[in-house]
Amino acid sequence: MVRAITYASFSDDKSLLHAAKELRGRGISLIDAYTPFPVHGLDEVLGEPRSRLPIVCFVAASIGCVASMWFQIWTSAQDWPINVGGKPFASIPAFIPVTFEVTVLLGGLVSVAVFFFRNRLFPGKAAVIPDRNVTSDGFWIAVEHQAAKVDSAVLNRTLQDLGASHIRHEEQEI
Amino acid sequence: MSSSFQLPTKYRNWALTLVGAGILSTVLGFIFSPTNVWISLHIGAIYFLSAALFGSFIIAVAEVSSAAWLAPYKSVAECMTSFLVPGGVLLIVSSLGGAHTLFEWTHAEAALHHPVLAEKQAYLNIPFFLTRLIVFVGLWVWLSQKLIKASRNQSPNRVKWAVIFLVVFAFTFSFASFDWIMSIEPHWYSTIFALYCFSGFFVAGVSCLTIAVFVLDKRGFLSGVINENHYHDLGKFLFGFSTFWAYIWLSQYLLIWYTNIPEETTYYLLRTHNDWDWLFYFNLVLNWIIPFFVLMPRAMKRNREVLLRVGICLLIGRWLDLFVLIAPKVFESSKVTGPSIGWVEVGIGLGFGGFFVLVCAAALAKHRHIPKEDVYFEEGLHLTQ
Repeated sequence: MVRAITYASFSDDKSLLHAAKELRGRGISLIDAYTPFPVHGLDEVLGEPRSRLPIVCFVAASIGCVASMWFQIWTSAQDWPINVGGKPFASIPAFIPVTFEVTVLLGGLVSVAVFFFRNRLFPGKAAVIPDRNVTSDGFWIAVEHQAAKVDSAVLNRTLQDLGASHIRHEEQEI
Repeated sequence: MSSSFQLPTKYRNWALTLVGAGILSTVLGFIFSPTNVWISLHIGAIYFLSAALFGSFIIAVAEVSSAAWLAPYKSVAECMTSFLVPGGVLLIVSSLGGAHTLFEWTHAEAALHHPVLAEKQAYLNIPFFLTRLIVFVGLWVWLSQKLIKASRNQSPNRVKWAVIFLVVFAFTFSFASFDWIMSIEPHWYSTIFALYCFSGFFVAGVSCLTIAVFVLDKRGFLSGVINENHYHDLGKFLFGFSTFWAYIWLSQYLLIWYTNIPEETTYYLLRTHNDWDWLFYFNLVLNWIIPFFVLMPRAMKRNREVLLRVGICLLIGRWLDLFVLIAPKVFESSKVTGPSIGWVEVGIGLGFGGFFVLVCAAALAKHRHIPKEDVYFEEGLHLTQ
């Protein structure tokens, strides 16, 4: 199947956000936006559901917390008890820094790993971007014709009215 | 946007009732248990002086970092600073009037016969203590006035005053925490103590700001200015800094527990025996465990009703924190074993609260409460997370 996509670029984040809002107001939904930096409020305009990554992070961090605490108690009180300064074998205060670190480490690493896996990203992957300038000063949006349900000439004019400087049509195999 | 601010009569009457209850508790308390009164007055003065100081602190931070998030409700922080003068006066009253109850180093024979206290006489003596107190509070009042005036007029000097305030604040706040709180146990010291006090100061200040914004918003004084994105910011501050407090709490505890040196452990021995232990650990529950788990989901940080409740929890927690910092040693010196909290503490605490509300509301009514002149106001209105 082939899908027809229109890419349009804007001069700055404000006009991009304005155009995105206008298009949504006219019932034309965007499939994506490309900006050199995070634009506040863009997620809502794109109508993206909230990320479920925090849940992954919470579960991983909880596992890190419990597992590291258990491991320390097991090593220092059960498997090979060592008397340190006359303190109890299972000295919870001494274990808290390590527990904290492992909680943060596992939460962070698992979140990044799941993020990459879910987005099918990996180091060295070719970037899927409308133009190289989205990494410096380009602000692009992508509209799918089928979703737009309007004639491409009408869409072009609408985008131009909203201040788009470059408009490009592309057909992608999916 | 809404009309100019006026404290609703119902609130005003409540605040006046609380002040009355506070005065009554103080008077009756002097008859029945003067020790409790001096402790409560000292805690109340430090507590609300800190809240007032937080107002200037957060404005200074926002000015230095060119932050827009504070701009829509900057006036709330401004009005909090109006309690600096009354708070300073009350602190002079509590620390001079209660000097012999609170501070062991004011006892001449104890100070002369104990080598540690004799050495510390050069720093810990009443004239120098009072001088420092007046200089610190005086600097805070003067710099806050300069800063707020510059911020209101959007003068180009406002960043300069903010920077001066923050540098002075760092030193004066540290020494103030040594003087007013740590010197209650003059044999003991902790090098992280000022940071510990600062973390509590920050959490309590944000709680105070959040509750004030909530009440003003609920009564319609901030309608069209505040939305859930602003609450989200405050929620993140509460969440983050309550965790920061717990981090510093543990840092202090851990090092003293680990090294186990008698002159350092006395502090924790006192607080984990004779029924102080449950208050000592409950402090951690109120100030960290409850806020941490309640505020973890994003939706909770954006819900102002939740923030109000967490803010109240943290404000009670801050009072308990100061009580656990100040009271155990004072009770021990007065031959009282175990904690004693009763109507004196509640009455005086609420009395201070009522007075604080009256002073701040009067200050807020005097000036505009929607700072439209601020260059970041418009940007601050359209915050998104």
